[in-house]
Formats: sequence, structure tokens, C-alpha cells
Amino acid sequence: MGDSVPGLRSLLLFASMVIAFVPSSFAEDRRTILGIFYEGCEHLCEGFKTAIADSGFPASVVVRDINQDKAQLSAIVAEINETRPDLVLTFGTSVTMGLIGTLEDSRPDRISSNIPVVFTVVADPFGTNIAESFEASGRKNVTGTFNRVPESVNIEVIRQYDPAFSKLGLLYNSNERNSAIKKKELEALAPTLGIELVALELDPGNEGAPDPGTIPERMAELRKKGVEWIYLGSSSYLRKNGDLYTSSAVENGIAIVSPYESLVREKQALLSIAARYYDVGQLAAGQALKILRDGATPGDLPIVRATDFAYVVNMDVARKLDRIPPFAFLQIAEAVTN
Amino acid sequence: MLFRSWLAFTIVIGVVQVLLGLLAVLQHDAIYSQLLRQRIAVISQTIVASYKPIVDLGLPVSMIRNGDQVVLRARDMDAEIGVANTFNSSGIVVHSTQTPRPPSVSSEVLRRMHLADGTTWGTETETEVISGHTIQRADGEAVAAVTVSYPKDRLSAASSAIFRKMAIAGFLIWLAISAVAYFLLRILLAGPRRAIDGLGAIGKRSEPAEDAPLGKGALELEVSRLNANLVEASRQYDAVIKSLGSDDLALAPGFETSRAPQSPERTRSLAGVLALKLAPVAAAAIVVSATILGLLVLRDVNRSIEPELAARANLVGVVVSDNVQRAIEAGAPLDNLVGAENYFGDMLTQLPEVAYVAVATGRIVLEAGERIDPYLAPPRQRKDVRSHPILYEGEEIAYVVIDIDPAFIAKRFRDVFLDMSVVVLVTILLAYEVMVLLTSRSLTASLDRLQRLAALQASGDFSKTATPGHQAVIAGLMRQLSERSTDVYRRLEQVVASAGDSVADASLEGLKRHFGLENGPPAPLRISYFTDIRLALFLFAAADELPLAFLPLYTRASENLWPWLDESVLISLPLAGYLLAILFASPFARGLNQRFGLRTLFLAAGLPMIAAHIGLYFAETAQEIIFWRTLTGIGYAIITLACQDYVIDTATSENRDSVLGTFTLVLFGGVLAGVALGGVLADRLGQQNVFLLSALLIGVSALLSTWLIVPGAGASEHKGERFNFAGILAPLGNPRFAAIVFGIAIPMGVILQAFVSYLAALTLDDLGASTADIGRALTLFFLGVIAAGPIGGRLAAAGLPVGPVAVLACLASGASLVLFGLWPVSWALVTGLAVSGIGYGLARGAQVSLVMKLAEGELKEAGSVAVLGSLRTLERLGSVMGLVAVAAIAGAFGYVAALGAVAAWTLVGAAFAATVLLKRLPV
Repeated sequence: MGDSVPGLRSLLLFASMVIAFVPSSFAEDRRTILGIFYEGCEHLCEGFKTAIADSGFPASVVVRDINQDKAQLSAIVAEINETRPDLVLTFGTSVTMGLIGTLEDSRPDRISSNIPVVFTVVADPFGTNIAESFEASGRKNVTGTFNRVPESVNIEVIRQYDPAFSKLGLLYNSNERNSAIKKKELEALAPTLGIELVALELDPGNEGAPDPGTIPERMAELRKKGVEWIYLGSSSYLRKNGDLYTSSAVENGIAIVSPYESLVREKQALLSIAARYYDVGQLAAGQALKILRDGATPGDLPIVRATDFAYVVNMDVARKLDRIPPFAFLQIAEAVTN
Repeated sequence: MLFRSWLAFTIVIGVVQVLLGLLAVLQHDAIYSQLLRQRIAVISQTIVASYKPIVDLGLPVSMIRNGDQVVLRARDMDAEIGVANTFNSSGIVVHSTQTPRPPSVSSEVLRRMHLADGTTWGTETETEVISGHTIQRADGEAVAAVTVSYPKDRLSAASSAIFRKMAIAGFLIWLAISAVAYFLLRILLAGPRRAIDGLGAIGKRSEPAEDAPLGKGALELEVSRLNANLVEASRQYDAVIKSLGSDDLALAPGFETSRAPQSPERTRSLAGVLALKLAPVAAAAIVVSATILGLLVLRDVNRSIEPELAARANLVGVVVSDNVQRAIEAGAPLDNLVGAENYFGDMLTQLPEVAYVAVATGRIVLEAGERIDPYLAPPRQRKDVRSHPILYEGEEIAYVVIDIDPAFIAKRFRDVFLDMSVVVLVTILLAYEVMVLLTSRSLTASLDRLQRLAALQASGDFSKTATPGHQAVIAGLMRQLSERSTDVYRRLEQVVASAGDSVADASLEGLKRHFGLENGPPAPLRISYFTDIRLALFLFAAADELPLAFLPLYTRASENLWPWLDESVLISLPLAGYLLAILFASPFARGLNQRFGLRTLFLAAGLPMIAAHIGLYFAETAQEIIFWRTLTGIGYAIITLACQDYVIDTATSENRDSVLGTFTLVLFGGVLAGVALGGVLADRLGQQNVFLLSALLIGVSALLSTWLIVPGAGASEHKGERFNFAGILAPLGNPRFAAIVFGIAIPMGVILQAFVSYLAALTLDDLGASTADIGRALTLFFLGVIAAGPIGGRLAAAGLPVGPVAVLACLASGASLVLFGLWPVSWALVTGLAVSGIGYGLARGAQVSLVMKLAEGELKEAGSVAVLGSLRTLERLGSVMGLVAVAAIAGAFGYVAALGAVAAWTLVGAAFAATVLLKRLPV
């Protein structure tokens, strides 16, 4: 017994050494990923964090939410350049643009070009000149993910659903770069697809964030112009005001097609063909792991595309609008109710 | 004699049962596998329909999030489904029922997808039947495909069941028919046996009786002739022995005067009479045994496939109910299923047996297709019979109504009947050839040899001996006659040796010459019969045609080393090379035959043919296929034409028409067998293996020819006669030759090459006929050919002039094509095929016969090699040019115009031939 005590003691000592050593060795190697989000840590953020945790790779994800306030971006740039996280994850066109700018500009208020960046949810990374092509971003420290279908697909979806469709409505916010780009893109696209685009500025003359109160007014205006379908996308502002936006559309008998699946699942948009943000977050985590764990150079990695898209249709809204999806649609669509 | 005949019959009936049984099982398996694929195609089709909205947007199928759930629906529809995969156009599996998902589909599946003409296709592995459905975008581009596999257990079980039934039925039929044949033969051969036994009695006495009874029948007449020859032969022998035994070497007066010339043709008739007596029984035994087994097969195959047909209809019900239920579960109201009628309407276009589909709740909620009159529909498919309930929250809220089109089902069974009929027909044709060979070898040939030997010795010619054969009495007589030949030679040699120089050489030589022994000891008697090459020719023709049905597809599937070449041109090149090879090799056939003889030629051309088929088996590129197939063309031309020359040479000018007619029967019988079986064999054995089978059959036919053909047969003394290309046009100076070539040979060649091989299939396809229907319609042409071939010969033998027969055949063929111009429907074209087949069969032998008459008469200077070579080359050249011209007309003005051109060509040709031949040729 007396012999066993020193034995036990030494065992405990060894165990405590192991316990003390392991976290400290991890702590030494643990990487920091700074995620900059436009409005809170939602599905994409969750998908990203889960995938990193599941990989077993020692990395902490630090979330920074700018809460739709683009003004915060310059401070964040400064912070990044100072603290030098191991990788920066950006969400949305505005955030990405604010942090890394376009291919051409080399302004000093962007983050340092030797900090790896993975961008996500940039509606059109090539049109905005954030990246060069799907093959490579064109910048040594930047790669990203892509999660959209071409806008022509969104318009064709409506045509499949409603063969009589000929007029597409759009409410845009010219203060939001993305929204303005989208308006231009649709203006160019509509005639090639044989449809008429009815685009209304949400709150003309207002330099700041538009007044949400204008949404129902504009919706009624669209209705008067004979619009039965509107497109809702590329606007964080509108997404934020999704509840009001979609409900006033339904009240006006207008169906919404949107790349934001959550607006169909949780709000009152009718139809979406999109990848799940959770899945996009997981894709972004894959890119991050390739860089941090496998030692890949971000600029050598292709922009990965989301693969799992789904038709999601809100059947409650379909019934309210009396626009039951075509039979063939129902064989593939994910039907949801509020 | 009775035992040997019966044994031959029994073997042939056995061959019929085994061959028909095996072919029937293969055919059953092909039908069953096709039905199984068609059934699971309903599932792959519905999965594809689910993907369609996504694909129509231009999105890849891989982007569909719930794709795995979509393929998993296959299992809900049929729990026995093996694996369902969705893969993109490069073969990468994007959705699967299997976990983990396989990375890619097999190269064979991908190949099938890319080669398929339509969207539905299929294949088989060792263990599974796979049904594939290509997903096309709105612009028609294939972007992905769905495969559904099904374990082969059902097929294997059905196949074994059919096999067992066939084995038992075949064995019983074999026993029964063999027993009946025994009694029939006993009755039939009673006369001949008595007659020949009578000869035997004579033989045993070593002295043929002078007073053999003379009956009234042909057989008795021939036996008495043989008897007379035997008596005379004995007398000659006795006289020879006597004179050789005496010191005086002057010929005994007896045999000098009695040398009566014996027409060798006439002496063949005893065997002919016997064969004629046996032929109806043989034909009856073959046809009856094949028909009985065929009917049993038909019944069993129908029983075997019936559940499959019902299962497919049932599956359609499951799919409809499943789709509707999904829409309702998604929240769509039953009475507002937008576009469901179009959806099911599209589905029905791919399900020809389903005439009508509806969803009813007591009233019809939605429907697609045309309702079948309930009085016409089979009772269990009567309308409004609830087949598949549609449930919502556990309650039945509606049900599916399906009307199966009884006409379609009837057609399906009719197709089975026709498929089986073709198999029965092929079996009968082959069995008949085996029978002819066995009867000839075991019975008639030895009788014939005895007759000839007796005739020779009766005329004092002791130059031949003969192998006795197996038939006791005949063998005894033959041995006796052979021994006499040897004995005469021995004695003559003794005389020569003992005479020394005392006798003038001239006198001795004269004696030897008189006995036909001037060149040494008596040699075995060798006679060439057409029957010797029939089976070999049949097998050879069948082997050559076997790959025909799938060769274009096989070429398309192989690697193309010339990417600049259009695919449609590429796949026609093996045929073009083959035809060109025939064109260039044809003129040499007769010359080569005369130089080397058919036996050597068959082997010499057979070996490269075997090599070519093995080459095709291993071929990986289209260019290799073109090369090897061209090589087979050379072999085909040389062997078939050398066989025809052999026939011409063994025939006399009297029976030439008849023998040429039979030659057409045998050659086209083989062609028909090859064409008819190629498809089903490729389906069951695999396309590549069919080449090996062809090589094997060619090997067998080469062996048969080596074994059966008399060495040197066909070779001719006048070897100086050579064909040269410059001489092709020379015979055209003769107006009758020109009339035969331009008025009959080329138009009929154009009918075969342009109408049958090209236009008919395309036109029928245009009229909506299925591949199987087209195949059967073409079979009708070949049936016409083989039926008419021997009839033409008979007509000529009966004294009808050959010229008018050929002209009329040509006219009738042309006129039958005009029918289609008047009524552009399937039956008119099918009639055209049948009539022109008969016309072709009649004209084919006739034209050769007419030309041979010219070669023996007016064109004697040119010689038969040049004249026949000229006919063959010009005919083929004309056919190929005609094919090109007809294809050009079809391209510019459509199929009807092209058919009109062929008809006009034939009619004008026939009119031209009529004016020249009938006016001037004393036929």
C-alpha cells in the first residue's frame, strides 16, 4: 500500500502534466478566423462554424457583426491590419467590397494583401470586379464561394411556373451598390428574355437608408402597372425588411421570386431557387481549411460554387395568391408552409 | 437402308429440337429482358420527368439539392429495384440510392447513353438489367441520364423455367417424331429395300440375274437399269478375264461391241428418285417437329411474359398515384392540379400500351389519353376499376383509372408469334440442309457411286474403284466391282510382265486404254455433288450476315481515328468497303476456282475470313472495323461465287436452272438465317461475341468443305482462261448479253442494294414501324427469294423458257414498287418487298443460266470465265451506282420519289430485256 502511494502520485503528476501540456500546445497553434457579417451570425455563419469545429482543426471563429452599418468597415479594416488574424471571412457584397475593394484599387484603407480572405454571398463577384473568374480570384490572398444561379434562371423559373408571365417588377435601392447593379443587369437582360421590366426606386431622393414605409406604396404602384411577379434580391436592406416587403406583395396579389431561400421559408416570398446558406458556410469552411490546414495559396484556389440548389415554394402563399404550382414543379420542389 | 435413313432422320429431328429449343430460350430471354427494361423504364422516365423543370432552366442536375430523394422514389415504386443513379453527361454519378454514392457509372452504361437514338435505352450486366433514360434540355442536348437497375433473378428464373420445359418437350417430341418417322420410312422404303436387297441377292450369287423384275415406278425402272448395268458389268469382267487368261491378246468380241455410252446424268437418277421419295418425309418430320415445339414455345413464352406486361401496367398506376399523392401532400388541392393532364399526357406518349389514365373520386378529376371502349377492354382492365388508391392523411381520397389498349397487347403477342416463327423458319432451313447432307452421305451418294461404277464397268471401263460406304448390300456390290477393277489391272500387269518384248507396245497400250488403265492402277471414283457444299454454303452465308444488324452501331461505338469525318459517313464505310471488295473480287472468283478448285479456295478464303472476324472482335477503332469488314467482302465474293461456279460445273445444261434455283435457296436461306438471328444473338451473347460465332461458323463451313468437297472439284484444265478487267465490257457487244445485264441483272441488283438494304427500312421507319417490324418486313423479301429460287428452276425444268420468266419477274418486281406510289402505306411497301423478293429469286438463277447459255453459244469465243465475270462485275457496279443515285434522289426528293425511280428503272429495264430477248433469243 505504502509502495502504491508514490506510484499513484507519480501517475497523477504525469496526468496533470499531460493535461497542462495539451491545451498549451493547442493554444500555441490555434488559428483565428475573423468573420465579418452584415447582419448577425445566421445560417451561413452557423454552417461555417460547424464545419470548422467538425474538421477538428484548431481554429477559433470570431464573429464581427456590422449590423448593416457600412460605416464600421473602415475601423474593422484597421483592426484586421493590426491584429492580423489568420484568415478573414466576409459575408455579402458590401462587406467584401469594404474590406478588399476591387481588383484594380489599391487604396490604403483596405486590409493588407497578405491576409487570406474568403468571401461569401457576393451576388456577382466578377461584375463587381471583386474577383477575376471562377478559376482564380486574380488576387494572391483572395478566394471565395459562389452561391447564385444566373438571373435568367430566376426569370425562366417564373415562366415555367406561369406561362402567361410577361412583366417583372423590381423595387431597388440606389444607395445600395448591389441593388443598383442588379437593376442595371435586369434592364439589360429583360428584353433578351422577352419580358418587360418595371423597376421602381424605393425612396427616391433619400441619401440614407430608405424609409420602410415606402415599401407598401411602391408595391401598390407595381400592382397598378400590371405587375404580377417581382424579383427580390441583391439587397441586404430589402432582405432585412423581408417581412414587410413580402406581406405587402401578397396583399397586392404579387408573387415574389427571390434568391433568398429564407424569405420563402420564413417570410411570404412564393418561390426561390437557391442554395442553402448553411451549405454555403460549409463550402467556405472548406476553402478556409485548404488555406490554413493544407497550406494552399488562396489565389490558386478556384471560386467554389454551391452545388445543392433547390426549388422552394411556399404553399401557403401559393394558395393565398391562388397560384398553385404546376404539377411537374411539385414533383421536384420543396413545398413549405409558414 | 432403313436403319441409316431412320438414324439420319432422328439426328436431324434432334438437331431441330436442340437448335429450336436453344434459339427459343434466347429469343424468350431477349423479349423478357426487353419487357423488364421497359417496365423499369417507367420508373426512370418518371424520375427524369421530376428533373425536367430544373434541366429546362439550364441548370445541371447535380445542382438539385433533393436529388437523392428523387432517385430514392424508385424504391417506393418498386421495392425490388437494385440501384437508381443520376449521372451527368460525363458519367459522374450525382445522385444515387447507393451509399456511399458510386463515383461514376460504368463505361458501358455511358457508351449506351451516348449511342442511343432516342432517350430510352438499356443494357445488361451479369447480374442486372439496366434501363436508362437520357435527360435532354429543351434544345435537345443530352445533359444527364437516369439509370435504374433491376436484379436479373426474375429473368434467370423465367429463362430456366422455359429451358426446362423446352428440354422435356423437345425430348418427348424427338422420341415421338423419331418413332413415327421409323414407321413411315419402313413403309416408304419397303419398295427400294426389296429392290436393293434383290440386287444384294444377285451380288451374293456373284452373278447378277438377267431377269430382274421390271416395275412401273421410276424407282423400279432405275433399279432395273442398275441391274442391267450390273449384269453387263459382270459380262464385261468375265470377258476380260477370259481374254486376259488366253494367250491371244486380241480383245474378246463380246465386250468390244457392247461398249454403250452411258450418260452419267442418267445414272444419277436412282439416288435422285430415292432422295425425292425421302424429301417429303424429311420435310414433314422437320416441319412437324419444329412446329409442335414452336407452338409449345409460343404458349410458354406468352405465359412467361404475361405477368411482365401486367406488372408494367400496374407500375404505371403506382407512378400516377405516387405523383398525384406527392402533389397533394405538398398542399395542392386535388381538383386544382395545374398542368397534371399535360404531365400525364407526355408520360403516355412513352407508354404505348396505356391508352388512358385518370384520377377519379367518383367523378373524373383529371384524365389523359383516349378511353378504350369498355366492351373491347379485357375484363380485368375494365375502366373504373379502382387500381391504385391516392391517400391523404391515411384516407383514400381518390383512385387511379388505367385503360390498357388491348390492340397494343395483342400486337405484343403477335410480335412474339412472329419472332418465334422466324426462329422456327431458320431452324427448319438449317435442319433441312443437315438432312440433305446426311441423306446424301449415308444413302444416296453410295447408291449413286454404285450406279456410276456399274455403268463404267458395263461399258468396259475398269479405271475406277469406290469406297464401299456403309449400306450393307450396296457396299457388298461396290466392293465386288472395285475388286474387279483392281483384279483387271493386276492381271493386265501380269500379262504385260510375262509378255515381255514379244508383244507390240502399241497393242498393250491399246488394251490399257480400252480398260481406262493407261495412267496406272484404278483410282477412287470421285463425284462432285451440289449437296456436298450446301450446308457449308448455308453456314457461311449465315455467318457473314450475322453482324449485319448491329454493325453500324458497333462502328459508331468504336473510337474514330478520323475526327474530321462525319459520323453518318463513317458508319456507312464498313458496308461500302465490303461492297467495293465484292465488286473487285467478283471477277476473279471463276478464274481462281478453275485454278485451285473449290476445296482449296474455300479453305484459302475461309482462313482470312476467320481472321477478319477475330479482327472485328478485337477491333477498337472504326478504321479497324472498316478494314476487317472489307476483307470479309473479298472472302464472301470469292466463296459464294466459287460455290455458284461449282454448282454450274456440277450441273448439266438440262438441270442447271433447277440447281441454280436451289443454290439461290441455300445462299439466301443462310442470309435469312444470319439476318434473322444476328439481332437476338447480339442481344443475348453480346455484339462482340457474335463475331466469334461468325468466325466459328466459317471455320465449321471450311472444315465441312474440306471434308466433303472432292479434291480438285471446280478446277478446270483450261487454266489459260483468265479474267482481265479490259474484257469486262467486251461481251456487251452482244445485244442479248447487254439486255440481260442492263435489263435484268442491274435492275434486280438495284432492288436488292437500294430498295431492300436502304430505302425500305428508311421508308418503313418514316411510316412509324418499329425496328422489329422493319426486320420482319425485310425477312419477307428473303423469304420470297428462297421460296422462288427453286420454283424458277422447276419452271425451267418443266419446259417454261427462262428468258420470259426472268423478264416477268423483273416486271412484277417493278410493278409491286409502283403500288407504294399509289398507296403510300406500310402494307403496300411490305407487298412490294414480298413480290420483289419472289421476283429476285426467279430472276437471279435465270440471269446466270441465260448468260451461261450465251457463253456456251454465241459468246463461246470469250469463254465462261470472261462472260460470267463480266456479268457479275457489271451487276455489282450497276447496283452500287444505283444505290448512290437512289440515295441522292431520296435526299433531294424524298423516299417516295426514290422508290419511284427504282420502280421505273426496273420496269424500263424489263421492257428493254423483253424487246431484245424475247424477239431474238430462241429460249
